[in-house]
Amino acid sequence: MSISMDLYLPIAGNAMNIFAVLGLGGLVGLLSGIFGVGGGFLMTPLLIMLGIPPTVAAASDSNQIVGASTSGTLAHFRLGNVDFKMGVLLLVGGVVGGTGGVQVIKILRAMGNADFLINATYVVMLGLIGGYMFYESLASMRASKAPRSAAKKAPAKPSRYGRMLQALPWQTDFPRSGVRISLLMPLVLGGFVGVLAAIMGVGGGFIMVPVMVYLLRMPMHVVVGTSLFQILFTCMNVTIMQAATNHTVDFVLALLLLIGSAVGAQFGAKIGKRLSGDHLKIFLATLVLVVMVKMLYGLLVRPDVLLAYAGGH
Amino acid sequence: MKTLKILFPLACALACILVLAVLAGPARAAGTELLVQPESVRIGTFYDGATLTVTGEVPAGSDVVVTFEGKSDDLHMKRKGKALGLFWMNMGSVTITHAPSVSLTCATRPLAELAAGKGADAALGLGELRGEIGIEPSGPDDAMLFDEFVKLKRGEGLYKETVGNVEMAAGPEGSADAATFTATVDLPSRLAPGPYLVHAVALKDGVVVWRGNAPVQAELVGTPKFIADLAFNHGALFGILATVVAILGGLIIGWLFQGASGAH
Repeated sequence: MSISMDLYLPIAGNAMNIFAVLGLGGLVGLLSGIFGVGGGFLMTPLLIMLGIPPTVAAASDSNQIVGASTSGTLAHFRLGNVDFKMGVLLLVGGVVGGTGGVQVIKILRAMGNADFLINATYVVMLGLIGGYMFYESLASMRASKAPRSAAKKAPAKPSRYGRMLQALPWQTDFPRSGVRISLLMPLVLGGFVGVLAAIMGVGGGFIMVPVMVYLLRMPMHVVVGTSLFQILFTCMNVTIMQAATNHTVDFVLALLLLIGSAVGAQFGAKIGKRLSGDHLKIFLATLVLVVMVKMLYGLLVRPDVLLAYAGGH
Repeated sequence: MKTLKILFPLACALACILVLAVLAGPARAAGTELLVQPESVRIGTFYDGATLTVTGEVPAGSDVVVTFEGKSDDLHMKRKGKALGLFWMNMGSVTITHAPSVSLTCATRPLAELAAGKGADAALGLGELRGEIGIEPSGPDDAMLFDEFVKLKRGEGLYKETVGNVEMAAGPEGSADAATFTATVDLPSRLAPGPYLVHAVALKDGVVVWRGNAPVQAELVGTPKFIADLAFNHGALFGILATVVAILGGLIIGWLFQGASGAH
């Protein structure tokens, strides 16, 4: 009478419970829809924990992010939260930067101990981004509650940065984001995130979001929609490349995750709409800091097994 | 002198035949071959592990050890160590050679007890692998690395030793010098398609008195087979299709939600 609720995943070479995969997809999709991050930094380790080989976990996750970010971009587009012009420029920069980043990784690997540099970059970036976002949004929330007299913390740096922004050539209007900046900014920053994402082997959403908020000065809600739009194309590229060269995309796994995460992303977009920009920032900052602490813990505590399969990212 | 030259090789040949006859004796006395049911494992959409039943006839009063083993291969691994005396991370590469993909052993009694028997001529189960698996580059940590590798494989459910999954019964027609055994081997859900081998040994006082083996083929069928063929033989097309389906899936779910919110 018992019906098997397990599905065999032909590329991962393992069976998994359908509801566990759908639930995992739903949870990560929810976070993706709220914060505009791909969720790869959460999903991939969770899949590995459930017994999926690391390379298959990362590649299949990219495949599902394509679906989730399509759904998320659509939801945010309806809410008027996608700046296509900015997204395309960031994407162009990101592709160039990503290609450069892959070369950087090759050099680091040739020099040896690349893994240490990758892990150190991860922890430092997550710590800096999470810490700054947390501090800034907390200060901003306090300032909005208290009367004007509350001290504004960082006026000197932004004003110099603001002057630099205005001095750059090719100033362009980005009406959806409500900013006027040089075309160079999204291109260069997209490239910078692309390099880091390639080194760290992630989609880069959690770096891109703070870059858009603090360096491009876009409103938080538009940042989320635009980030998802950009992640869609990055992950399309990764999925096709991984399937063609490494045969590591498990379509059955990706499809199940996708059904969960696309539904989750829709709810996420609606929840995100109800939250203020500062609340969104402080929640994302907390998430980033939690991941940072988890990574640091992984670095400091002796692993259960002192061997791992080679061939991860 | 001439007759001695002719007689000596003849005596040697006769001695060899006698030794072989003695060695082969118990196997012949036990009679039947190893029987494995099912003969092949079909990995379909809802595959979630399978159970193999292994039966055979062995000399009465012996213990039986049955092993289900996958193809041996060399595995490239990362070795974890401490960097700067503080951080645990991948610190070097090692190759584990001749490691079977799967090794599941079940026995009538704990393997340590059986192998420790007087005159045991081979280690059993995972202990047997210690002699087969190599580590390159070799060094003073080889034993530790072997243990870590077994720990990793045990964690994946691919290396396992169980006691008590082998039942003994009287031999056919109440034969006093033979017994039959029935072993049940639980195959993991993490099973790759390919050839596998079931081998069984019977031991008496730590000495192997009977051996038998039978091949088992694990094969993908149905949807998993179709998907794996496409992924491995037409990778780029598979990637593009996976992307297109993901986009369509995302759009359909997005559209459904729009419908729901529109109706609301």
